Amino acid sequence: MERKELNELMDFAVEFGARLMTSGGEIWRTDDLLHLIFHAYGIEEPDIFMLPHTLMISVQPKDQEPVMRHKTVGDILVNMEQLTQLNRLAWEIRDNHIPVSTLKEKLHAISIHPPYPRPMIICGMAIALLSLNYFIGGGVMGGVLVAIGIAIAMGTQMYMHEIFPVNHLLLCGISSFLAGSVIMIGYKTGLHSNPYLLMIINCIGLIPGIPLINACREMLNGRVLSGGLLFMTAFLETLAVACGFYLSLVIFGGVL
Amino acid sequence: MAITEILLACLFSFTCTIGFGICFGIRKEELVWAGLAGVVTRIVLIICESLLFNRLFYTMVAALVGTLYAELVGMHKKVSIAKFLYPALVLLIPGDVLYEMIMAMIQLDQPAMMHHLVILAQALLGIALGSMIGPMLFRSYRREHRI
Repeated sequence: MERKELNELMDFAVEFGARLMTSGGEIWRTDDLLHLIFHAYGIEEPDIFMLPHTLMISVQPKDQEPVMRHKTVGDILVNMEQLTQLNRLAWEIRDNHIPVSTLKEKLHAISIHPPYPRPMIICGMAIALLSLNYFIGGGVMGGVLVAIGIAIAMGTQMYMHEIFPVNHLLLCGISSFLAGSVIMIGYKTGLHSNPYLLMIINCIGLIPGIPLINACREMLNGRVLSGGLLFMTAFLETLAVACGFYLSLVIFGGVL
Repeated sequence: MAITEILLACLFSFTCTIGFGICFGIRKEELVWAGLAGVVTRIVLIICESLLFNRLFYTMVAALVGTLYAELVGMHKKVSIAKFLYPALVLLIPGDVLYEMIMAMIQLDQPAMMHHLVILAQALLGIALGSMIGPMLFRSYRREHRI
């Protein structure tokens, strides 16, 4: 492979891997698919190093200087449609030996946006939590408060970041504080008698559950470093969410 | 548990998983399959909870069955199994326990924190183990069919 082509392939690979990771792809999956792509172009042993927010790829061609790429991976926003299409692209590359010059074009043809608009995603989460409300026994008014709370919390997370960028953990805390405040106002006005229960239901929608499972799977697969970091990230986010709810309990006259 | 209760549990598991499926960006055509993943996992969880008293084991069995369902549907529809795996597992995530553990931590209630930590570890380990065994069984088939 010529130097120019190798550079193009590396640029593609690092962007492909980063997009896969941000769409919720596990580290083992990203590693697997990147190896698949490199093997398709005759590179048998690429060095791939991944952490939850970092991707590094290094290739040592015969009689040439090594080529290396590094990319910082953004926040994870689970997008199964993008993940599936990226998965399919990797297998297409492996089977059809697509020219390197067209790879970027193919990657950019895959939309980074989720298949649903943001209000629909918020409605989806509200439906999910309303159903959970049945299992936990929050009642009808409880369900209404949970739905309003999660809509405000998710709306804050989605839109506030664009208007006024703040630290991600702070954003988690602010959104859970707002959701908690809705529940506490409902409690104070006599709409519901158990705010603690409703906060638990809302919390289930705000904590990073999937990264938590992936963290355990990574650690059991022997990737202790990346699994540990994923676990710490999930733990800190949950801590921020819990602090937000706790603050609303304290400010609105608390039950603790 | 009465039949009505079981049916309601299935119905709400279905709607709950569909809701999470929308958040995960699963396309309309596949949402029903994702919803059924939640139903399957919930039914197994209800059965196993009454038979096995250790949270590690009943969560593991439920996660394993959910993963097998995701594998079979993924193979049938020729798409990545993650699309059905996450919705199958999402109902098993012990979000309430995690929240209670951290609340206990904030309030410096060490015994409660340790109690919830043990339950959380059991549940997470169960889900992780259950969801790892399924893919091992189908790995070669998936490789062959590029999914």
